[in-house]
Amino acid sequence: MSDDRLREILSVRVAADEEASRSERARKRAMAAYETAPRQHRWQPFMAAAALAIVLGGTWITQRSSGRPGAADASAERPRIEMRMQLSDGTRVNWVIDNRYAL
Amino acid sequence: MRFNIPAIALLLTLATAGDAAAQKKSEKKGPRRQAEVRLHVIQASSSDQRQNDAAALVPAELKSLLRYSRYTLLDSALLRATERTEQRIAVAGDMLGEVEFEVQPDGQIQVTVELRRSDSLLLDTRATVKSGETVVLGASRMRDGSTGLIVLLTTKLIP
Repeated sequence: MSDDRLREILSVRVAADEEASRSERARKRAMAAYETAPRQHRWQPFMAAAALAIVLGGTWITQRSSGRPGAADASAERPRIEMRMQLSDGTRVNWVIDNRYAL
Repeated sequence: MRFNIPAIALLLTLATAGDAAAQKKSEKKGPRRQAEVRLHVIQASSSDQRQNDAAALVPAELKSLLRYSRYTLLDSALLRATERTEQRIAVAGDMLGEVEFEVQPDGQIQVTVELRRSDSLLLDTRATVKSGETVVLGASRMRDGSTGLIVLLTTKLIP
């Protein structure tokens, strides 16, 4: 493109009504972009507290549910058997078998 | 934040009533009895290296059930205990024993015994006995028949 042609294009003045219609179209595009864009909410204090409560509750439930099998595993690792018997002379015996004992 | 005043008042009333009921129940138990508690702490083992000086204390029938060959007396103790009060006693040098008893409504005595060596648990069990009766408390580990602990416990109420 020659310099003269470019100068000619740039020097063309936009009519006032065309300028208004352009600005109207631009405004509509901006409004449409604003309405379709995902809205960003400001965190209210109560919403933050509710979210924190949900997170803490979830953590507690997760820990509790994961803690149960752990406890069962621990008890499986160290079973405890308690036997109660009575000898023929009447002597009573309580015998405990427990792997926790450091005998 | 809004407080639910009636609910709080109800909870406080229930808590107070529960505490009063527990206090009344405790009072109903009457004066605390005294008892003479005798302990023989015996180590049972399969090793021939150990002494066998407590073999006579362990009932022969029990010995025939157990697979130990040696019964060593670690310590004997006699203590005067008060009902519903934890009594602590050092036995066999480095063992700490805890004994607590409570007389049941039918006159039998429920005794709780715990033996520890430093932070390691050696025995924790309970038994219901008659006054003057000797009960054998034993402890061993699963799949480890080399060592066991035997406690001969006699609890006699003091009139």
